[in-house]
Amino acid sequence: MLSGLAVKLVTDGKISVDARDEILEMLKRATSNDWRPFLYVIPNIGFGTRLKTVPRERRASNEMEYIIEDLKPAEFHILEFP
Amino acid sequence: MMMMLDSLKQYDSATANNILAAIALSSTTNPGVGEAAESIGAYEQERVAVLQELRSRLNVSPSDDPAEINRRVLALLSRQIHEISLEGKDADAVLARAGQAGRLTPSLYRVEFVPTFAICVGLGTKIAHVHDAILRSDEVQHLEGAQGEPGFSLFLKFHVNAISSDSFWLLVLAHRNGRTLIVQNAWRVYPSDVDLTDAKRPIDVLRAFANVFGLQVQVGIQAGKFILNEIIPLRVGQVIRAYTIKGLRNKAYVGTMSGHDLPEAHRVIVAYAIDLLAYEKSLHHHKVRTNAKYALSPQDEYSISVSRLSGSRVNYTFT
Repeated sequence: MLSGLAVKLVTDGKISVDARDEILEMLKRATSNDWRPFLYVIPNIGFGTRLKTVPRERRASNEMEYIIEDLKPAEFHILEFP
Repeated sequence: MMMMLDSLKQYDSATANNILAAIALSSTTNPGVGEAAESIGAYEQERVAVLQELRSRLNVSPSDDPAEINRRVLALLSRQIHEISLEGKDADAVLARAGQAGRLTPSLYRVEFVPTFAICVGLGTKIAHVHDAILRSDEVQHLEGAQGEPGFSLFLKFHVNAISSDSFWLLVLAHRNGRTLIVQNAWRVYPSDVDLTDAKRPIDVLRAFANVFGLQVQVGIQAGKFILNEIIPLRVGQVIRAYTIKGLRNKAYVGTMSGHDLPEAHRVIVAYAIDLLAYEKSLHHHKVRTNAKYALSPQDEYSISVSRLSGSRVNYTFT
């Protein structure tokens, strides 16, 4: 899925071909140790139309899900589990 | 060797890649990218043909677990996308470029140590803790070098102790050279000793640490205990004392004097020198056992002078 996303971001002009290649090569070599859970804490303040609702058929569960495509680092906190 | 899927042979590489990407994005429950699922609409026929071919290649049986089938199909899709995207490219060069820029996943860096790192080990830093700080850092900051020049990276990892004043941040400084991290030094930064109130990034932690345990350094005309990003103009024939550590007599230091030459200047990336006697004494307060071996300086100053001979030729003199 991330490979597809990297290709799409190039097509959309959001990242360069070099960046795509780096992402794809890192994905190819990634092991399970490279993945760890993060909890993103995003205060829902004034996102307006940037906050999109995920259609039910595309949700991972029955709960509400949202997408903010252009979330900036200053707009969230990351909690990591030891 | 890339093997294009039969179902995509009629397309050029870029189009085939876009089709595979659209299929990958539409094959997940939540693509997370807004309209991605809709983008498959233009390639619906191709999607059916590609998935059929992939399932055939994977020898999928109707009785197999659908989730497992999807996982294997996605893995094969990713492989196809990788092969098309990186066809004819040097994968090691791709990773070296990412590494140089500080974009590489930590586990893909090779970690090396400068010989003087033995002093940091003698001062209670374990090699395993350095690897841990790099692989599982609490915070990392990659500072850029000039074009084509190594930058450096700072890694922070908090070590909790039952006695709160003995809890510390392990701060690791490493130079980046392609895929290699060359660890220069690592310090235990105790918040009980170093005021980190205003430290927002790892570089601020290093600055605060140097301000407590550093010796006076002079870079060009700027003096202090921590110098960052200083440009020293350099004319042909001129000799400049680029770096000077002062008050060194009967002391020892470990630090970093990092810089590179520009066409008409010398750029200092970072300069600091940690007073090992003061640092070791603080470690003893925290009951850290040390056995570092270092010689005390007989001279009061140590300096590196830079002179530009002609064109881009630069000479360094150590005194």
